[in-house]
Amino acid sequence: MKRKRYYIVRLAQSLITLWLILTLNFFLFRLLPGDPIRLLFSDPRIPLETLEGLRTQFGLDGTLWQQYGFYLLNTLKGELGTSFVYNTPVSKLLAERLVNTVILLFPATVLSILLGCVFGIVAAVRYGRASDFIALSLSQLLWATPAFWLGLLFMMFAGGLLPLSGMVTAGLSAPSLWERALDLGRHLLMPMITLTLVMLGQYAIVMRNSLLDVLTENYMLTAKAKGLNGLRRLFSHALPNAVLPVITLAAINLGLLIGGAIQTETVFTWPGVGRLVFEALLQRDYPVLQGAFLVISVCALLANLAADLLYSAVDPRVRA
Amino acid sequence: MQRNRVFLTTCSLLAFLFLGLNPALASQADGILRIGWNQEPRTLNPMGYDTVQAGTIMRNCLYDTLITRDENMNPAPMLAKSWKASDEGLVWTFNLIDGATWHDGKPLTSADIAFTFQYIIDNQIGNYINYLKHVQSINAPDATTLVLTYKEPIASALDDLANIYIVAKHKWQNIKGEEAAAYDNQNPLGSGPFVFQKWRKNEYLSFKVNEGYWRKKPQLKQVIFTYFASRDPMVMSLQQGDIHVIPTELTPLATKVLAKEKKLKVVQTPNLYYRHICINSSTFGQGHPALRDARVRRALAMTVDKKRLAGLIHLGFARPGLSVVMDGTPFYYGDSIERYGFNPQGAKKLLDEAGWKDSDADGIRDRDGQPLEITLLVISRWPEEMRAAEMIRDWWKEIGIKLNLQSADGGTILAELFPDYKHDMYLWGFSGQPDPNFSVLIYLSNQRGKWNGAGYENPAYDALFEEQVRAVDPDKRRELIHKMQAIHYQDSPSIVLYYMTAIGAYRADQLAGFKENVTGGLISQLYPNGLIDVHFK
Amino acid sequence: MKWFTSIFNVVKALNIKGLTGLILLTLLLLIAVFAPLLAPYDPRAMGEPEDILQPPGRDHFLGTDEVGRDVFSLILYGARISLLVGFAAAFLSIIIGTVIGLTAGYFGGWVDDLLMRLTDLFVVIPRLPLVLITVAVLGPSLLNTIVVIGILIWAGTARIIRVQTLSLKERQFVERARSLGARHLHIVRRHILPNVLPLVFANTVLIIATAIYLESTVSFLGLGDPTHISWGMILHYAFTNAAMVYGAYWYVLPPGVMIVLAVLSFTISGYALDEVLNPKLRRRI
Repeated sequence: MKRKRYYIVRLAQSLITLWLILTLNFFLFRLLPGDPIRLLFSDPRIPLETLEGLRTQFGLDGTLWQQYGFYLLNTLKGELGTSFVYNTPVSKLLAERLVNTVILLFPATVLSILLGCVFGIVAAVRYGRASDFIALSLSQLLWATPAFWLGLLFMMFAGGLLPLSGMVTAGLSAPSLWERALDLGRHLLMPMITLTLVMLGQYAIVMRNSLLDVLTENYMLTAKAKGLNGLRRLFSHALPNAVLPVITLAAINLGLLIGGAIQTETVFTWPGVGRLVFEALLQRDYPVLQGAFLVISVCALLANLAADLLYSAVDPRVRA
Repeated sequence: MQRNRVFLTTCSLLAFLFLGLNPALASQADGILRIGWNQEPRTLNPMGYDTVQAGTIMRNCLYDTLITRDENMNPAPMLAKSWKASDEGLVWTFNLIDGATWHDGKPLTSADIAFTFQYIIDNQIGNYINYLKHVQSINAPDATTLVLTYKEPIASALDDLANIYIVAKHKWQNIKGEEAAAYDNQNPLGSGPFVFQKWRKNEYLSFKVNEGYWRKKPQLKQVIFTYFASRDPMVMSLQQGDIHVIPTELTPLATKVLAKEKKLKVVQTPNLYYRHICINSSTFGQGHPALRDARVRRALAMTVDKKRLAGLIHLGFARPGLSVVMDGTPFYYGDSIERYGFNPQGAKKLLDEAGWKDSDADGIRDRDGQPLEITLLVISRWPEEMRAAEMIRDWWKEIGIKLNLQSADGGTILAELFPDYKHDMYLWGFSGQPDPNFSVLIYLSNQRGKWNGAGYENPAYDALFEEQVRAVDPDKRRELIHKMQAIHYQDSPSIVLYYMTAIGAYRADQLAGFKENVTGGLISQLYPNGLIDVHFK
Repeated sequence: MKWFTSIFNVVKALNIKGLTGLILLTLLLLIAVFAPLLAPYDPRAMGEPEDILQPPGRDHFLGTDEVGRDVFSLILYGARISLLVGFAAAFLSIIIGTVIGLTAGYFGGWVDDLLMRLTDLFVVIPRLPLVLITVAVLGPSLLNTIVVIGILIWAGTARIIRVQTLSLKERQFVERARSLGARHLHIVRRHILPNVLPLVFANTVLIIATAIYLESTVSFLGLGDPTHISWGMILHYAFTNAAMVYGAYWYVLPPGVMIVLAVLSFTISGYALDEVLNPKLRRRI
């Protein structure tokens, strides 16, 4: 009963946070200097009446509160507006770019979790010995490395073999599915490896610490006394308990990362959400900025919520 | 162990597949040209475009003009195969070619051209109206003749016409005039050598060849403009062979590296493009009051060592600036005007004269308690110019001026500029044309709030402009333009830093047919034949 | 005197790794402080065209950049800004986070709920996009970068402080103080804060690491203050000025290495200090 109540409370809290996100979203971009109409139609020869007409067309007239009201209404309807620059509905644009970002992030995250766990497990199992030190230090080193720098290094030293920008080679004439997949893969390789390396440190450290905690618990001793061998103990008793913080971390990261891939996307000109935000910023494309921001925040919110609920589902001690 | 070997073999196989097969190699046989650039057009609307990149696309791919330019930037036939003017120069008769068609197959006749011009005049289309405002009437007596009657003889008439892209009557008659500037033009209908295919914004923009092009069908089958978010990957892609040509955005540093590559050929030509510091000279704005005094502005201009900047920041690829008409148009370029040069001592004297002295010995000049402290907005798009700005800051410190630097993107600068002229000065660039009209126009008082970012007002300058517009005699016109340049140089509403060079490079081992000596670069908005003869060897 | 002995005890309790981190950290601080003395050239002095992008050599230990500046001097001076922003932003965020965490934990009820919703907001909002946008709004200056980063990373601190405050609040000495009629501020200052501070301190070092990382990213993307040199800024110029095409490894490697070393040293020290100061939390480095 208590748990259900906890769920409801968390949900309600998330809704309040959601409202805060929407409000912050709206007002933040209105603060950007520079009239977007002026910027888009920067030809000084356009007469003022045309500009005013454009302003109405883009929904930028009316008082700030009026615009806020429309914004809330429209967002709840799912209407995110139309991009000033691309002249396509923001939702369509975001969907496209989000897919691109996920194509990059998903394999990178999966790989970094797997590798991170391997590092973490090795380090924990061989606690205090050389391999622990190496694995841990390597993880910490990778965690401290800026993603954009690593990307730059890759570009510099891996040049010649892989394409350096974009997601696909433009204008391939009637490529087969296999050719298209291969092309995508070649473009994907460097940015994905960059992201994987940068992210795995975190998972390794969390896995290690969590596993270390578990390994000293009483039930591990019991398992040993029962005569179960090392690997069995590890996989059937220790890991299932130790992996929980990792899952929580992964859930949170996945939510955050969608916005955080900006670095890698910029360096590799990957057409994802991160770069969309960056370029929309320079062009004062309000609708896109707001829409992207919203989507990213909501993703993070959901991920957080999921992580909290998941954790509480498994660990009855956690409440607030 | 057995498992390890299988694993290793799989890995190497995958690596081989991945790294070995390069889809881009296929393009050679297919006639697909891949071009790299750092900035995309914002729109492909001929009535409302505002970027050099859009102009490049219009000029080389999508549209034709009544008259065009040849390699020396002189008027050359295009849709008009010949023309003649009446004795007073008021009535121009153009004989058009026969058999031109639009990309949708419909014929292109004088009706389209007449429609385009009339549309521009009726709707005061900002992009073009300055070229047609002296036209009194437009007539198309038959499908291959066009007659333009001017109110008075205009010196730049022919070059002006070279700037107007002709649009299809059957498309644009359905687009209301008020909406023309903002029209998105997602499916451009042109008559040019290439047909619009696809545009994935900030990724690539592709065209396929116009099979029925009336002039000369290009040998390329497809042209793809690939966007790169930054320069380095673009250059590296050229080296790797992922793209074939970078037409104009190569940096001086990159040329040093690429010069060693045998496969590539580096080409440089003067560009009709300069970078300048535009000073808020307006009497009504919110800039620093000292800048309203021409003596102060001249002192600032005297304390910029343009030669050193061009040599260091641009490795000699840019040429020290002088006047607003560029050295790429040598006939009108005011090379002979009297220079004050790099003269900090003279600057100090001028500042003293203007009443700005350092009364409190803090190293900064002041007057009536106000220090001579100004802010320079440096456009963030060109990080190398921040270096130039830092050097200028040091030079101006020597003469007692405190310069604050601020990096700003285009949007922020425009916001400061219009309509209230809140800025002190900003560093940006300017793209001109072979005819000097536009270059001098931007300092007219009637352009304040429009093109006149300096807020400059000088009746003598304005009067000279009106005179040169009508000076049909080239020598007389040159004299007038020189006078205008001299006025601008002395009054210094802007400091022209350097004239830029267009640096491009292409795979000379695979391609031929690029025009390497045309002002503006390999593919530019000035000249229509950048792509027409390009072919794979 | 008491301070000195406590610090000394803490340092003694660190293991080798923690000690290394601390030494590295101190070295970086010394570099930052003494940069003007250590740097062979004025980092702003641009050279002649022949000096551009020279590889490491006799005259320039780490070569030159694209306007002839000495890279080694740039790196040394870069430490100042990178560390300054790191410290200042961390400091700001700690203050905000501690105040909010204390208030939420101590008062509980709707105050707690409201503040926690605010904290959630800042946890959930994508950091980098928010930093970029705010810097664009406020303009690229050192102060703005510090403020923006500080505002963005207080959430973690707030949560930790709040949990600790919640548990402390129920302790006996607090109950007693309240029954004696002590005012809230007094209780917080004398009873709660001293017990929360050790937690804050270890957390601080980690926050500094994050702040340094964020600053380098912001500068790299071109939104830092262009009139100051930081390691991220150096990389920004390297990236936008064809350093890679040139193969200028001396320009691209050192700034990144410094960022890694700085973040790493703060991280390791942070974990080590945490272990020493909060042995109950049983975290191992």
